[in-house]
Amino acid sequence: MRSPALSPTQFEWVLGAFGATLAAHLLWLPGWYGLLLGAVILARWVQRRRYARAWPGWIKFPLLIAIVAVVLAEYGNPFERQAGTAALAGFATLKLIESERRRDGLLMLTVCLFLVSMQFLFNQGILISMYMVVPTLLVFLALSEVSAPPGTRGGLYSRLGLVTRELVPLLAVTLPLTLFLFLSVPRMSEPLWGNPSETNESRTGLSDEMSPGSITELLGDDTPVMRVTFDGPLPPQSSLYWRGPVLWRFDGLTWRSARGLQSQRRPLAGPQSGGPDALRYHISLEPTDRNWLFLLDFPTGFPADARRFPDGQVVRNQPVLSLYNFDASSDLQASAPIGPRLADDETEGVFLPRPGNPRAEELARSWVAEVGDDREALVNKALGYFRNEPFTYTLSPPLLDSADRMDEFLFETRQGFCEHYSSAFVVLMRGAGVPARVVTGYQGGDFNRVGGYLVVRNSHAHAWAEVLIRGRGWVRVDPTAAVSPDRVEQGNLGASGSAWSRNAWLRDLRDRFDAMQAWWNRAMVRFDFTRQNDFFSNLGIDPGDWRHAAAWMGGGLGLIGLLTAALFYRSLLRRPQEPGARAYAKFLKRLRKAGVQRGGSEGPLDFGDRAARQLPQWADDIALVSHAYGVTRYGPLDAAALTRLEGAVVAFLERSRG
Amino acid sequence: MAGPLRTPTPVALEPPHANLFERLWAWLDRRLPNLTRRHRNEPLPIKLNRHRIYIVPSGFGLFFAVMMMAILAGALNYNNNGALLFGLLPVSLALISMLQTFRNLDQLSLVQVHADPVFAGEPVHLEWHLRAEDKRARFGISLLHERERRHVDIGEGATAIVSFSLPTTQRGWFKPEPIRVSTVWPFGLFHAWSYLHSDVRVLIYPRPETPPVPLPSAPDQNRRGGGDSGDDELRALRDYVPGDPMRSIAWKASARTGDLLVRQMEVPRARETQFDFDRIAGLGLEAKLSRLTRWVIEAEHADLHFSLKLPGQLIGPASGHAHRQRCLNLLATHALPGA
Repeated sequence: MRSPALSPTQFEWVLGAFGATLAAHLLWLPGWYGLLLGAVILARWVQRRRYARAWPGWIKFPLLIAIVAVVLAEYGNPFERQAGTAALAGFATLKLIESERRRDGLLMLTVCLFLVSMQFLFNQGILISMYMVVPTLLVFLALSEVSAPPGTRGGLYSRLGLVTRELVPLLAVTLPLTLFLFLSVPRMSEPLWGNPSETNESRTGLSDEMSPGSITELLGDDTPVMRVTFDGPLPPQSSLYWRGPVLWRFDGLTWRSARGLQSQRRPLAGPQSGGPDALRYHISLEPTDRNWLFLLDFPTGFPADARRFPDGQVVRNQPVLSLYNFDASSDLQASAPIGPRLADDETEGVFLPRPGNPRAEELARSWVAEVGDDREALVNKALGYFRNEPFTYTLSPPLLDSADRMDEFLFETRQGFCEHYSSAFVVLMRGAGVPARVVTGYQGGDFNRVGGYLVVRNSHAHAWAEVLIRGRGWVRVDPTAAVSPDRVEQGNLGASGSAWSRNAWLRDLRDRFDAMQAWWNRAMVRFDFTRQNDFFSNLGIDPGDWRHAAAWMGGGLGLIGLLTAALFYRSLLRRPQEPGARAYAKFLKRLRKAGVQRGGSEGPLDFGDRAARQLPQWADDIALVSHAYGVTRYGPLDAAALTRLEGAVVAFLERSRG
Repeated sequence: MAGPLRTPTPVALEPPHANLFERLWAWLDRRLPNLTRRHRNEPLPIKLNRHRIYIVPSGFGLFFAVMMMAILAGALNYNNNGALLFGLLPVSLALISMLQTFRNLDQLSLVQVHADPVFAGEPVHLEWHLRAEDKRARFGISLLHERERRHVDIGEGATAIVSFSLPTTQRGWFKPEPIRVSTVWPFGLFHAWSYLHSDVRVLIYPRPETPPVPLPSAPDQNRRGGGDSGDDELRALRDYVPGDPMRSIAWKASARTGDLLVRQMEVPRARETQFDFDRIAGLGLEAKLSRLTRWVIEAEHADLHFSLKLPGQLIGPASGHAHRQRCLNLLATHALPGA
């Protein structure tokens, strides 16, 4: 049997549900791909309003080829989750332009549910999760419309009163059931197959290179990178250096990490628990798609699946694709140790590109002539230079475009922020023959008073320097702090004078929202195998014991069943009443007040006789009511008898009141 | 007026010494009347309840289940709780919708089946009155009757009237086939249905004879031919129709015209007429009843005072609509096979 055609209303419900689903994916889909799909959907909507016909093949096939080409060009590997999802969104759009029959509509709506759940591969934030309820419900309202037989309404939405009467009980039962199932479905400790792999993703975050402008783009981004809870009191802001990639190699323009250099080919430090007096804290790291962990300088304890490189960076074995929680500890006083071979650090730490920045090297050499080989004195010379010359801290410095950029910055523009200062400082140190390197990471954090934790955001990105001092190791020097102490005290935006972070009300609002997000991450996103076990042990339930499991499932489903019964069968909870029972009950109540109680097994006529004898002033009425009730109860069912009974009761109540 | 008629159905009593299988069957028959397919026709109203309503996933429901399982498996494998939560939400909605689908039929009553009596050969218009017994609206109720589908919504406590036109072929009691009530509301994931076997019978009158035959003793209104010829003999003649008594044939006139002609009886106008089954000669039972039916219709139309005589039964003389109905009822039920 051919599936019936979609009515205009049904089609628009399908289109609406699909549009709402796709909207969530626009957050990550390449902008112009989203535009293409949006344009196709819009065109289809306009066309279907005029006449109901699928688009012809000469439009469909070029579109199909375009979608496949775009996905391949954008993502390369078609089996990646992004490519797969983008392709599914595209194919669903193509399905929409040929959806004319009910079965097409039903297929579209099922695909929408697929796309809803696939959205969570990309974003599990609380706001987007709340939004996803909208497309889910739209899909079901559309199902209600599409599956309705011709000539009838889907029902749920046709009248506001019905929406509340039918949908509210439905959701009131559905939501607890969903939650219960969510808690109960056993999580896997290890995936059965594969792991969503992703490589060339452009999430904003620190990279392992630093070129002019690479940090600027982070500074305006308030996205949380991680949330940190400290076991003890919060350390001072000025000591919160979250160590990230360490950059050694400089080509005059870009700083790169030292992977591959001689000094890094050494055994890595395995997992460590940290010393007894180390600062302990717990980090909840948002997905970065990188292997790096950002620990306080200098990291001494980190999780088992991470290692520490000789330059002090802690790297996890696999990328952080979803929220990652771990315990760590650090020693805030310690400097980064020297690499396994001092000679490697010494030679690689002084490399400068040729041709370099002649004026900077000239300046550095003049300091060496002045103070000799005293590295600490040379560091102070450089910091003094930044402090005494008219350097200013700004997030929008003039563009450096000459070949020797560090010279241009040090002697001409003299405006910049951390990446300029750290870079120029290392160049100066190397010019003076002092091994130095750039360390990137985050500095500081916003303390959330609502949640009692520290939020580190992209905007806290920072770059500082380390110099090798014999006997002490790699000592941290932050030249930016020399120019703008506020940067280290108040953060980038505070230092550059943004009003946003100073508005207490806005800050409070932001703290509250972030606390909510953190709670969501803890309670929902990270409810994994371990958490589930903890949850059940806290309740005293052993999920491994089938009796416990059965009791939990039976108890939970039983409660939900009771709730369902209460909502859907409210009328059944009352005893079913025979016709006329309500009127007769009023009659009995009045007599009870007058002191005549009906016995449990007393028939209505016998009771009527007795009551009439005891209350002779109402004898006629009592007899009338008793007789009428007897007729409704034992005689043939007929509406007139019921009316008679009700009339008699009303008359009796009137008369007996007076 | 003869509306739908009901006859009480005797309740089949369980034999006291039935064997296990028979007892099981009797139990099934009592508890799940639709399953046993040994349907007793029941008196109205028939109220749907949990013993009568069957519910299974629809084809789309099965597809939906497979898709949701795929989503849940992926979400669990990748430990993606967002996807899991939004996979479980549709699953819960679907599970609860099963209850809603069932409740869409539950407490729905077939309260009346109405049909005006018709003559055999005319379509009978059956009106099925479905009432939502509790104070809930029903949506997307589908009715299947004799391969015809109708779909209705029923408001809270309201009665929906669904009509089906069915062809009739013979006089007598017409017993409608059971009607199938089904729904997939709200989401099309489950399909609930039930059959209603009512004991409703509709009376079908005999097919009136065509072309019409003049009343046997009607006043002379049917002049034949030109009529103004002034020929008394011709005026009192009409065409022979099968069943006319042999002695009324005007043989001479017939020989003259070549057509078989019959002399009209001289009956005073507006006097009592009797339609006598036995005085129609040479026709079968059904043909006689057809002719009598035609005469009853014509006589009532002409406002005649008439009586109807069937073997062993006599109605009238009387006139008017009620008399006509009585006569037609008698004609419809006369000597029914198996009755």
